[in-house]
Amino acid sequence: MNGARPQNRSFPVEEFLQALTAQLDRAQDALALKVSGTNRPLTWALRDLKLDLNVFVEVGDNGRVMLRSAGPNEAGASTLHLDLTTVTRPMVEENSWSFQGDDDDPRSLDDLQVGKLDDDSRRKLDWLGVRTVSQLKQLDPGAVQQVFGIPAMRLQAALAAAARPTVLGHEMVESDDGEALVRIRGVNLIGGAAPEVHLDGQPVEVLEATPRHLLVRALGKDQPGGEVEVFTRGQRVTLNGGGGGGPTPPRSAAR
Amino acid sequence: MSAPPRPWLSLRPLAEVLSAVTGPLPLEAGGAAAGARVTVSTLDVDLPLEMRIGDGAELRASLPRGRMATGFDLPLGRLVAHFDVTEGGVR
Repeated sequence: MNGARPQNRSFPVEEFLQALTAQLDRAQDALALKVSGTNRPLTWALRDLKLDLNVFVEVGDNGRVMLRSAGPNEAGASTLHLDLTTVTRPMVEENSWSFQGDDDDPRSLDDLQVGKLDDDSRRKLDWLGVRTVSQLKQLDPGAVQQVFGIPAMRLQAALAAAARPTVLGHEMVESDDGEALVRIRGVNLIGGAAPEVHLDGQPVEVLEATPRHLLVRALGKDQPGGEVEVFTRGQRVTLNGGGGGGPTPPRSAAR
Repeated sequence: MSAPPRPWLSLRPLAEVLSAVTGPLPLEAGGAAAGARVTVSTLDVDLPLEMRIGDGAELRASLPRGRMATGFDLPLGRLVAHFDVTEGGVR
């Protein structure tokens, strides 16, 4: 009877604790969202949490301490008593290294088309609070491999993919003197030589270039330019399949 | 004929259980019309829970689904949580 009941798996204790704290972060985020998403000025803030879990504590072949949930009618389980409390932002900042802001590269790790991380690595990075490419760049692959078991080569492949130039979108803007321009958004758009831009196959003048955006002369007032091609770092980059959004109607340029 | 219920399938992530428990609770009551206003300052919950460490080491839980425990139910754990009430969801 009940042959469909799944066999409980064992998990390393540190994985369980990381997953648990990530869950509590998500719970708090959901509570905060209720304030911003509704007109309620107040919300609950989780301060302390105690858990009593029925588990079997095992030691794996490699010496890792593993936890397995006790199943129905299983005798001899241990009770794991966990006591968690809130760590405030100032305490975190005081006691850990901080990531730089997201100004550098705000793309989600999921947006990396090449060198995609597998689910397990992605989950472990999520526990670390690493969700953007910018945060990924701050990591030391060797140290992450040692502590979290994510292969350094996999991280390096993801970092190499993240370093490639990418076009995320483009939009029509207008200069102060009414000239039609196109602003191209992306990452790693310059490197060494000045980039070259083609709109609908025609080369256009690049007026301004930073790693995150290019400002180019438009083909016409209402011509955002169809296909955008950027030639930079020896590569040809185009906006792929609507990722990051297509052109938007003209608006005043705020360079 | 339907299959027998499999309770472990309806365990939910702990974050969802916490949201489900606190979500419906009022944070304040009354106002000028009532002549008084009452605001909750803290909340303590002490719950027996069915819990299981699931895929990805995620803790999944459910409130006990019946007054009578059977040998086919997961053993109950316990969760004690203390919540403060804050403005604007500031941690």
